[in-house]
Parts: sequence; C-alpha cells; structure tokens
Amino acid sequence: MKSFEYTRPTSVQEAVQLLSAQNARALGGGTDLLGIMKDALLPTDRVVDLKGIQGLDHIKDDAGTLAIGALARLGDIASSSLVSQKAPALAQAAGLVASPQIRNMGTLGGNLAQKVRCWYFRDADRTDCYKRNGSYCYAVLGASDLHAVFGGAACFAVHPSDTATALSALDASVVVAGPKGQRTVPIASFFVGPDTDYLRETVLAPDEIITEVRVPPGALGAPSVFLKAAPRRSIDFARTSVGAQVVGTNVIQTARIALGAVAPTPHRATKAEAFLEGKSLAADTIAQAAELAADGAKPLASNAYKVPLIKGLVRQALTALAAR
Amino acid sequence: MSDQDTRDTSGEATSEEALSRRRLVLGGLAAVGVVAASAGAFGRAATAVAAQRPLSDKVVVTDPTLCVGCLACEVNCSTWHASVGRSAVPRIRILATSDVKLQTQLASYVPARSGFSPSTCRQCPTPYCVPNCPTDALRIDPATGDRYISEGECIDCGKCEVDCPVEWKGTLARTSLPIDSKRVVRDPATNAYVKCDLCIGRTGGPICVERCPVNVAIRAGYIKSDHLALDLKPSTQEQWEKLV
Ligand SMILES: Cc1cc2nc3c(=O)[nH]c(=O)nc-3n(C[C@H](O)[C@H](O)[C@H](O)COP(=O)(O)OP(=O)(O)OC[C@H]3O[C@@H](n4cnc5c(N)ncnc54)[C@H](O)[C@@H]3O)c2cc1C
Ligand code: SF4
Ligand code: SF4
Ligand code: SF4
Repeated sequence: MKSFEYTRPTSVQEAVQLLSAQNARALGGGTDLLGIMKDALLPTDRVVDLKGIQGLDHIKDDAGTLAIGALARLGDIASSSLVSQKAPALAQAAGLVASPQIRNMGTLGGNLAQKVRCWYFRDADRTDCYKRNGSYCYAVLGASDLHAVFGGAACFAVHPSDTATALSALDASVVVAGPKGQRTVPIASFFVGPDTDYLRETVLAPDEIITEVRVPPGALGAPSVFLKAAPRRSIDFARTSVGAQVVGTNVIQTARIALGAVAPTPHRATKAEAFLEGKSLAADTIAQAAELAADGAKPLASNAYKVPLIKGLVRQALTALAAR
Repeated sequence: MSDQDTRDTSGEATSEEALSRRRLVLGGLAAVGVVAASAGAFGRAATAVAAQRPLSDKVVVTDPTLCVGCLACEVNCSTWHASVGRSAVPRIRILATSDVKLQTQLASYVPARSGFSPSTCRQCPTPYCVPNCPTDALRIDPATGDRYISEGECIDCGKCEVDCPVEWKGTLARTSLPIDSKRVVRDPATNAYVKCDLCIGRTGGPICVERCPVNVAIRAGYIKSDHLALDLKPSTQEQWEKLV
C-alpha cells in the first residue's frame, strides 16, 4: 500500500479542516476504504480517522426522532432494541450487511458513503473506468450482472449500501458537517447519480462528513421491512433489495418503497407508491404494486434477472407488511 | 477527496480567449469576408433568410438504431464544456422514442436498450441562428465553418432561439420528462444560450463521438457497422435533410 499521512482529530471541526487537504479521505471502520487504498483505486494521500471524535456513536430517541451517530457500528444498530422497535427496516438492513466481523467494524456513516462495488471499478487494472476518472464504462456493453436497470448515465454502477435502501423507505435525513457548519439533507437528495457527477455518489463535498442520521417521528413505529436478495446468504452484496414502509391503518396514507442495488442511487418506486395510496394491502393490490415497481427498467446484457427480482421482493415486502 | 475537481476530460481545451484569438488569426487569413459580412450586411434588422455562408466542415450525424441510451454522450458533453468554463447544459440530447429498432447485433446483446434517439444542433448550411445575434456571440469559425456561441459574449437576448427552426420535442430519456425546445437552449445558471459547438478548442474533436461506447465497439470491430452511432460527416444540404 502506498504510504499516507494518518491523523486522528478529536473534533468535527478539526476533521473537516484536515479533509480540505488534497486527496484526503475520512476513515470510519475502514472496511471499504482500506480495500480501495490497497488496490490504489482512488488517490489517497491522507487518512482522517473519525473514530477519535467523541459522541458520534449514539443511538438514541431525541425528542421523538431516532438519532444515530455516524460512527455507530452496524452491529450495534442491528441489535438495538430501540431501532428494532421504532425502525425495523433499518435494524434488518444493518443486520444483513456482510458478516459479523464487518458489522463490528463498519459504521453507519461509512456504509452510506461507501464506493461502488462494480467489478470493473474494483479491478485495479481498469484505470479508464469513469469512476476512476477515466473515459469509458465497461459495463454498458460488457458483463453487467451487478449493474443498474434504472438511472445509468455514462456509468452504470449501483449504490451498494443496504442501510441507504432502508433509510430511503424511512424518510430519513442525513446531517452533514463541513467548514461552513452543519446542514441537514433529506435522504432523497443525499445520493447523486452519475449524470450529476460520476466521480461521487453523494452530495458530500471532499471536506464534509456525515455526523448523524435522523429518522422522523412520522416514520417511527409504522411497520417497515427490509429484504435483500444475494447469491450467498452472508458476506454478499445485494443483487436487489427493498425497503418498504406503509403509514396508515387499513387505508394507506403514505407508502414508501425503495429499491437497492438496481440504480446508482436508492431508487424509489414512485408509481407503485402512488398506486398504493388510499388502498389497503389486499393480495391483488400488492401484485399490481409489485408490477409497477419495475416499471421503466431498462436492463443491459446480463442484469435482466433484476426485473423479476424487484417484483418478487416488493410482493414479499408488502405481504409481510400486510400481516402486521 | 478532491477527485471531482480533477476530472479527466482530456483533449486539451483552449480557453474562450484563446479561441477568439484563433478565430481572429484564422479569420485574417482565410475568411475576412465572412467576418466582415456578419458585422455589416447582417445587422439586427436582417432576416434569417438564406445568407450564403460557408458550410460547416462537420456535423454530428446520429443513428438511433445504434444507440443504447447510455447517456455517455450527454454526460461527457456537460463535463467537458464545464471543464473549460462553458455551460454544463448538454448540447446533445437523447429522446425516448418507441419506434426505434436496434441494429441486429446490438439487439441480440442488449435487447432492452432500444428506443433512444440522439440528436443535436444540425450545423445548418443556412444557419438561421447566426445573423440576428446582436453581439456576434453566435459566430462561424472561419477555419472550420463551425457554428458556435462564444458564451461569454452572449447577452441573453434569445434571438437565436427564436430563429432556430429545429426542435427537440418529446420525452427526455434521462428524466422521462417532456422536452419542447429549440436546438439552441438557454442555461439559467449562466444566463447564456448554448448549442453544440462541435467541442471547439478540444483536441480530438467532439467528445460525444470519441466516447460513445457503441462507437468504441464499432471502431474495435466488435460491432459490424459501416458508420458510427455518432458520426462526424461533412455538413451539406443533402445531409442536413436527413438529420434526426
Ligand atoms: C466482504 C465485504 C462485504 C460487504 N457487504 C456489504 C453488504 O452486504 N452491504 C453493505 O451495505 N455494505 C457491505 N460492505 C461495504 C462496507 O464496507 C460496509 O457496509 C461498511 O458499513 C462501511 O463502513 P466503514 O465504517 O467500514 O467505512 P470506511 O471503509 O471507513 O469508509 C467508507 C467510505 O466512506 C467514507 N466515510 C466513512 N465515514 C464517513 C463519514 N462519517 N462521513 C463521510 N464519509 C465517510 C470514507 O472516506 C470511505 O470513502 C461489505 C464490505 C466488504 C469488505
Ligand atoms: S459501471 Fe461505472 S464503475 Fe463500473 S465500469 Fe462502468 S463506469 Fe466504471
Ligand atoms: S442552432 Fe438551430 S439554426 Fe443554428 S445551426 Fe443549430 S440547428 Fe441550425
Ligand atoms: S453515448 Fe452513444 S450509445 Fe450512449 S446514449 Fe450517446 S449515442 Fe447513445
């Protein structure tokens, strides 16, 4: 691994200041960043370890809002009774990430800010991929098993985060700190697609960090669920995932269905959501919503299997919610 | 993490200043008459009719049957122009259409990726957009005939937009939202009008033509076609009539 400068600030202000240097990157649990550095996928000259900052690993009820610090570990989120009770989809998603070891190291902030898992991007030799500041996408006319069926533009890598999918269904917000202070970004605008900027996946500027994730009272307590399909039961990224929540008893007031690993950002199935409003979760309604969830999908050469997967997972998720 | 500031768009852009210097130098050598004419005979009151202008050496000729809708052309167009200080509004657009049949080899490989139609400014032999520009921001490169806008000199009057007879009408593939505009459009972020300038100043020519992955596959011989998805061809009246 190329040598780098390591710093361990003790405050958010100090951290963002250190991150303003050229090729500096934040470090959470390191389960993603270390792999990227080992294969020299992205230039990294400075590592700013966030773990020295106190008070960023909380999981608490903040006057009715569920507040989780960016340094909270995925394992702690999965086993938190508060999260399981108030926001089950998030606890389920955190618990389905990778393996116990990775959940023990990996943080929520790092999970949201992780880089894509496209096999071409992760292949050290393919330096001309867009995500590596290159000029070509291997997936468009290549092996696209892992890739996007919605929203690809120049690059077709999907966002790999499981918690992002759950948090999108839970209408969460991301608290971001930078040199000019703090801002709160709704999860729906936190992720950016390659048509906005193919070199990043989120709105985060190089010298901004996630400090907290907040789930609003309206989404807490209402039934929610997260389901994930992957070739292996553990230590595997989703090939498709779904986070779903319905608010309203008997008649649905609001439905949120977020699909993971099918687009460069968590993909909201807006047509299915709109269709469900004002209805109840009867079997035929669920079946129609599941069909609508895949509407507009445009698969590449080898990812058409994601279309039936989306429909199946949405049907399962809504059926599970109907049983609550 | 400053990688987004160092994006590689290669092709060595020239600045707007260098561009107009180049225009003056070349104008002095090759096309003095053209420069003089655009300042004089085609003043504000001139109509947009049939001025005899040099043809553009090149125009981007698009073939929807070879387009898989990957949007690399739109994205790279934005990125390169922004990297040289011009508007980030894409000057080539992919419209969604239901009636495109993909070329057979592509159809056997990515059957779902049909129904995309790329198009851009037609570099009209009669450049309707040019004569009424009050500042000569919309000009013709004397060396190449490229009809382009010096965006820094555009005063946001919108005359070119009114005069351009070619439209984008339909649904944008990128957003699934309707588009109904001319091929020269206003960028609200820069208060300037924007159109395909054939990437003037870029070594290597138009970035969309260079980077379209179908073009890459055709050049490499993986896809058999006697022309590219986005091809650069001489602009002629006959060609113009066939443009998408
Ligand atoms: C074998 C394996 C399997 C995996 N499986 C899954 C899976 O199934 N699902 C899934 O979702 N993920 C998976 N991951 C990805 C990921 O590593 C973990 O999910 C983990 O959550 C990342 O968190 P971290 O704290 O280790 O991040 P780090 O590696 O420390 O950081 C990841 C990125 O985020 C940035 N970053 C970290 N913290 C912050 C912050 N607070 N603010 C801004 N930027 C920050 C870093 O600069 C870096 O770019 C897997 C990883 C491996 C190695
Ligand atoms: S999908 Fe994106 S990350 Fe993968 S090869 Fe294409 S440009 Fe690179
Ligand atoms: S902007 Fe319109 S009128 Fe001008 S050259 Fe292009 S297509 Fe023709
Ligand atoms: S880059 Fe080529 S294949 Fe991709 S959208 Fe543009 S014209 Fe179509």
